[in-house]
Amino acid sequence: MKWIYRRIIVLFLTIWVAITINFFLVRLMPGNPIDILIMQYMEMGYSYKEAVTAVSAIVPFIPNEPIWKQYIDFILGVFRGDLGRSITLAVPIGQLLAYAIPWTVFIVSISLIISFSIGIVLGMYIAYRRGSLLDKALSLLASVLGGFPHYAAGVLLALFLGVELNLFPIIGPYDPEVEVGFNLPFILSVFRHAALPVLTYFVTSFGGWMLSMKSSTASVLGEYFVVAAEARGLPRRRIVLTYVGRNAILPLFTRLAISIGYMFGGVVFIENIFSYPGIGQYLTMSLTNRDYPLMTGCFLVTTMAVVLSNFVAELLYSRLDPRIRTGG
Amino acid sequence: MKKRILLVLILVAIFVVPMLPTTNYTYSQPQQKTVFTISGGNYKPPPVGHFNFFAPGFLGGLMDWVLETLTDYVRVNDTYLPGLATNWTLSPDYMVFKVTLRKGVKWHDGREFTAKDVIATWYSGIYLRRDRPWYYLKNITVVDDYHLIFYMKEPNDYVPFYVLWHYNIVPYSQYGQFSDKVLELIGQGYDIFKNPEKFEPIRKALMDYRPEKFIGTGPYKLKKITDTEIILEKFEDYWSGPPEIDEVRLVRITSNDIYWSMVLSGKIDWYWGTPTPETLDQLKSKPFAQIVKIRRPLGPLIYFNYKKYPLNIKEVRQAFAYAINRTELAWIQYPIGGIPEDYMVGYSTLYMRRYLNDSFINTYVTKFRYDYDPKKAEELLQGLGFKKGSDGVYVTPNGTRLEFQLVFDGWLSAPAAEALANQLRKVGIKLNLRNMGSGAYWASDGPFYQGRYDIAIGVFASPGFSFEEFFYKYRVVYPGNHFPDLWETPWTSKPVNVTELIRMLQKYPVDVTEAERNNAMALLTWITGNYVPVISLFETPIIIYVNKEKFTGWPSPEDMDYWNSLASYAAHGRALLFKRHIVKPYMFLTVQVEPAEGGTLSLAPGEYKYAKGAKIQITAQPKSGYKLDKWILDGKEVKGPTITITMDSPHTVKAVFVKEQPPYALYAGIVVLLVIIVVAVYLYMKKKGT
Repeated sequence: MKWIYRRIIVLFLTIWVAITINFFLVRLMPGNPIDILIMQYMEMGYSYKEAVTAVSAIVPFIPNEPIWKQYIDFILGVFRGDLGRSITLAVPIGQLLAYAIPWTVFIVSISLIISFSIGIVLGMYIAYRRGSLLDKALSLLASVLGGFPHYAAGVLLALFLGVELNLFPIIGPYDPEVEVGFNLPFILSVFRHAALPVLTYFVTSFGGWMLSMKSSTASVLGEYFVVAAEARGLPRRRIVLTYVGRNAILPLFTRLAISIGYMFGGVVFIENIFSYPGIGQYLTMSLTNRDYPLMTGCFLVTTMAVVLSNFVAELLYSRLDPRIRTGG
Repeated sequence: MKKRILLVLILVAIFVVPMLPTTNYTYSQPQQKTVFTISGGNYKPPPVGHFNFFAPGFLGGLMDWVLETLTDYVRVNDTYLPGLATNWTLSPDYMVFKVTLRKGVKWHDGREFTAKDVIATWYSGIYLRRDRPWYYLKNITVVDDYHLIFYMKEPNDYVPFYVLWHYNIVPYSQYGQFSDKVLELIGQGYDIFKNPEKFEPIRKALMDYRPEKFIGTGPYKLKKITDTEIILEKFEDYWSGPPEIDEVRLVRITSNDIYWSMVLSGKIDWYWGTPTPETLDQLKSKPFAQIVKIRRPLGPLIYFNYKKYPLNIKEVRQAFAYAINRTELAWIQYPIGGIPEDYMVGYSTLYMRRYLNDSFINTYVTKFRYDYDPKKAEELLQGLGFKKGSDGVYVTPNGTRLEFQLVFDGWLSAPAAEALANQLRKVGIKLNLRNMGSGAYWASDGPFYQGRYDIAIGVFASPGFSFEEFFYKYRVVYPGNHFPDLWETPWTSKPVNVTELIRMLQKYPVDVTEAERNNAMALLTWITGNYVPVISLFETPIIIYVNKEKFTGWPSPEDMDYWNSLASYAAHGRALLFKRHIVKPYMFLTVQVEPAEGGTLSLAPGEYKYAKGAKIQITAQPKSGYKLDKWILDGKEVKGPTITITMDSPHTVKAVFVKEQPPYALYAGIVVLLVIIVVAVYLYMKKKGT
């Protein structure tokens, strides 16, 4: 039990360090939203003074307190669940994230489930047929696609399947004609619109799962208990699923948990390509506008996703391998 | 086992569901409606994006479709077209501006548009933000529902532009709650410039205000706003009649690649921006694309600091002008073709002929081309006794190296700045580059305003703007460039005082005639061209694409007066085409004949496209042995040899010919008659015989 307390303390410390670094890093970036707005007014012919006056009137607040005070306010706000307000959108950041996170989670979860499921099935299959033409072809394909950046894959899929063949929508999370709500047209539309973002992630990631599963299965296949099970005359299906599959998949489960966290950061590109209103969109927007509070809020979510998924991975692994808990 | 089957089924479902044919829910637009599609950028639907015109986060893309300005401005001849305002007059002393509003204009919620709405606009956001016109405006009074008077603090012709065209009008029903409170405080003797704290609660309330609906008087009403598109439908009660195009859709696009793929596949009907050369080439190859390249008359301007020796020597600055290849820099900054300045007179020469006559331009301005000539640049430096050092950099007779720091921000791109440094290096001038963020660079205590530079990059635009910038703002108001006050010219017996000239120009048109203004412009042009205190480099190219296959009525690509006017206020300028029923959708007419050999039509069978509203007359000419039986227009029968079709929607018309039949009835009648006659004769003969 002590182990878990230690882990939780480390978890909070990690989050605190990460958000502290994020907090100060974003404020070291050149430019700020006020300057950008002032420049826009000046381009309209306003003098600098007139532009400053006009911008001061429309910006909800200008963070002009000392940075250490801003930091303390921010940390206290995090404990209260208040991440502040976006400077450019004048909306509570919590409200923005509450809207964006479900869309990101939706894409991330479906993408992971599909790529993981298909990856392990194919991985196991080619592990049994090592050296076959299919094994070589799939391994090559996995290596090639695995090296493909999300962004390039997304654009190519959008151009080919969306624009050229007109098979899938390429813009937004659902069709503008449907009524938003719990109804079949809306649900179907959401799935159709998620198709390309999910496919983008699938294409670039299933190969990784497949190759990992192949290697894991290959190592399990050489174990004595498999040979023993075969010698006992157990049905092949039972050996494949219970003896080989279950053991081979264990290390991949922990990687799966970690992947969830990393995908929150990686999904930024996919969301931008397909105009998907997830957290990546707000992160990009906040970076462009130098909207510090929003930037910090987005980083907080991605940081927490990574740290928590690592924590879950550790928990999972400790359940699978008690030596982790005892430090043995 | 069941679990596994279930898992497989779920996976199959996840793959299959997106593939299901969902014709009703696809991106395709309704067949019957004409739709104009543009990019809505990365807009945020409510509750993040909102309908408060004056607060950050406002859904600005909707603005010129739903809201309207009082008039439309035609830049080329500096006139306004009546719109919500039908008449306006500025008093001869430039102190009183009277506006008459159109009667019978409706808001989208059915309310009548009146002077109260204009008051609500001017005394809510514009006043509370302390926008520029209120520096010059004293107050506005309402004469009656359709007449207003704007009173000025000081004579100016500046405010009418803002009243008539700059600001969209918002409804009193939404913003009256703020303007009423503002007017109450003003009635108590408070003024936002003197007592801003008194107005602060109202300003805060306005910034937090989130109207439930977006109401305007404009040609389009907001129908729906989603995470994917904003759909606007035509306003049937629009004051100049319902618009020609049924819907306008603003697609939310966050990826440039996707945006361009949609433009290139004809799914987007309008583009305004600076694409890459490759994309532009692709677009040019599309048959549906009408492309116009316009110049935004503004760009980077080199400022020399007169305090820095030897930049205060005219020949040194002229050497810079000859050493800079403006064309090369323009193409580096804008690979689709930046527009290098023709003459080094410190402003965009696009509007030069508004102020200077041909004689002056040909005699004087043409001397200020400073075409790229590095040899001449070096001759000028050598003429001053400068000698090259061992590193190839010139040194003045007193030992000062021609090595300077160039401070710049985004107005000059980093690659263009590097190219500039390389060009100057070739003639023995060394530039050290310092690229700064715009905020710090343009801050009033920053290097540009305070003159903490050797050479810096500012901005040039029209002559009025540019001269005021470098001869006044950054010289008199801020220390900036340290240019002198007095400059010698060939026409004046004593040196010209540029401060006085600028102050004089500031009084135009109140106390200064057009001739006096133009004379001052000519002097400043000559001073700038001759002494080269600044160097205007190049202007920004903008590509405008419109879909000419779906819509007609676009101004011709040669009509550069219109297209160039979109260099600023592009959305206002575009709205004019839709409000004034200039751009119309093409309507398709399918003409058929049945049977083909039955006859000919004045319009041969086939598919034709016409501008919406066109009237098409078709006449049928049957061939021998045939006659026209009927027309079938969209499934309905129409009789007559000629049909007139109004192209208010797509139509299909079919001319149906039939073979001319022998007159069987006549034959039958004759036979019957003959029979009757025969029978009658027979009976008569019989009777007679008896």
